[in-house]
Amino acid sequence: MAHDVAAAQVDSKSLWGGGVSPMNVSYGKLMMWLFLISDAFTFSSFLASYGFMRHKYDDIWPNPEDVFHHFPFIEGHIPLAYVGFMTFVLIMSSVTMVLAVEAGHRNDRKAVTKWLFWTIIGGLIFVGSQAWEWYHFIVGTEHGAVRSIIVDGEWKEVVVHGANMVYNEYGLPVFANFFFFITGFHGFHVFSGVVINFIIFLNVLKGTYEKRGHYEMVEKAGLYWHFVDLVWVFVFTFFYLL
Amino acid sequence: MAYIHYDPINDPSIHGDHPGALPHLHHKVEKGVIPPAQTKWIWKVFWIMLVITIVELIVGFQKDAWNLGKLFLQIFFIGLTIVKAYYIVYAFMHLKDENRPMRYSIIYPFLMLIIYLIFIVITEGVYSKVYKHDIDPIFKTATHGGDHGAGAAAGESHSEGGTHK
Repeated sequence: MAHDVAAAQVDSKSLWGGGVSPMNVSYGKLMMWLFLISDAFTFSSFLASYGFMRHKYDDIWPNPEDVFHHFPFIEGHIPLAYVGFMTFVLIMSSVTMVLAVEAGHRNDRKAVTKWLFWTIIGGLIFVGSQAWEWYHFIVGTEHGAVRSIIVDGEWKEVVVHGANMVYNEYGLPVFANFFFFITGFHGFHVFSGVVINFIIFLNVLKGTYEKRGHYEMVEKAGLYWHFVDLVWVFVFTFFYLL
Repeated sequence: MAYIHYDPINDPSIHGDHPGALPHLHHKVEKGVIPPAQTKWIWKVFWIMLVITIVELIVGFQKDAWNLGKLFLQIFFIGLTIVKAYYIVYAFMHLKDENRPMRYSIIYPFLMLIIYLIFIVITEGVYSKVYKHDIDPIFKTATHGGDHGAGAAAGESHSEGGTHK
C-alpha cells in the first residue's frame, strides 16, 4: 500500500531520531489506539477476575443455559438463541462500520452516510437487546428460589425472584454481580459508541469531512466501534458458552 | 537510501485535521470522481466470523448431548474466540496495514501483561476453591447457609422454592 512505500523510504537509522513519525499514523489515531489498549486492560482484568470466581466456585456455578433462555414472542426454553442474535447484530454493525470507513477512504459521502446509519441502527438494537436480557434476569421466574440473605443483620431464608447485587435466584450472587458489572460496562461502551457514531453521522451529513478533505474521524470512531465488538466476542464466550 | 522530506508545519501526524493528512487515507482523487468500492475482503471476513459464531452456537447447544469434555470445550471456544479477535483487530481495525513499530507496540505490551494476569489469577482461583468451604459469605448465600454444602446447586433450589411458596 501507499503508506508502506513511504515508510520504506525512511532510513531505519534515522527513524527514531526525531523529525519523522515512525509509526506513520496520525496523532488522533495513535491516541485512539492507546485509549483502546488501556480499555482492553480494564476489560481483561474484569474477565480475569470473573475467571477467578468461575474457578473458585467451579462446582456450584450457575449454568448460563438455565438463566438466559428467553426469546421475544416465543414461549419456551431456547438457550443461546437470543444471545446468538445479539452477537450477529454486533458483528453485522461492525461490518457496516468497516464499509463506512472504506467509503470514507474513497471520499464517498453518500456511502459513508448509508453505512454509518446502519451501524447506528445495529448498535441501538444491541443496546435494546441487552436491556431486554437484563430485564428478564432481574425479574426472574415466577416460582423463584429459596436463598439465605442477611435481613436486619441476621441470615434468613426467603423466597427470592430474579437477581440483583445481593441475591441471585439462579445460584451464586457473584455470578449476577459479574454479569451486571461486565455486561453493564460493555453496554455503556456500546451506548457511548452509538452516541459517538451519531455525532459523526451528523457531521457527515453536514459535510464537515467533505470540507476537511478526508474521513479520518470516521476511521477513529470505527476503531472504537470495532473494539466494542471485540470485547463482546470475549464476553459472549466467557459468559454464555463456557 | 532516500530520505523523505520532512515539513513539520504540514506533518499530518501532528496536525491530524490537515487537509493532506495521511497518504493512505486520502487517495489522490479528482473532485467529484468516486473510485469503485473494494469491499470483497470485508465480506470475506464477515462470512468467516459468521461461520465461526454459528459453529460456536451449535457446539454450545449440543455440548451435553455430544458429551464433550470440559477441557476440550475450553480450548475449542477460547481458540475460536481468539481467531475472531484476530480478524477484528487485524482486518477490521486495519492493524495489518500499520507498520511494524505500530503493530508491535500495540500487541506485545498487552499480550505480555494479560497472559501473566490470566495465569496468576486462574492459578489463585483454582487454589482458593479448596478453602471456600471454611468461611465464605458468598458460598453461604448460594447454598442455604452452607448446610447443604456443594450439593445444593441452582437447579435443585428451583423446586424447593416452589414448595416453600
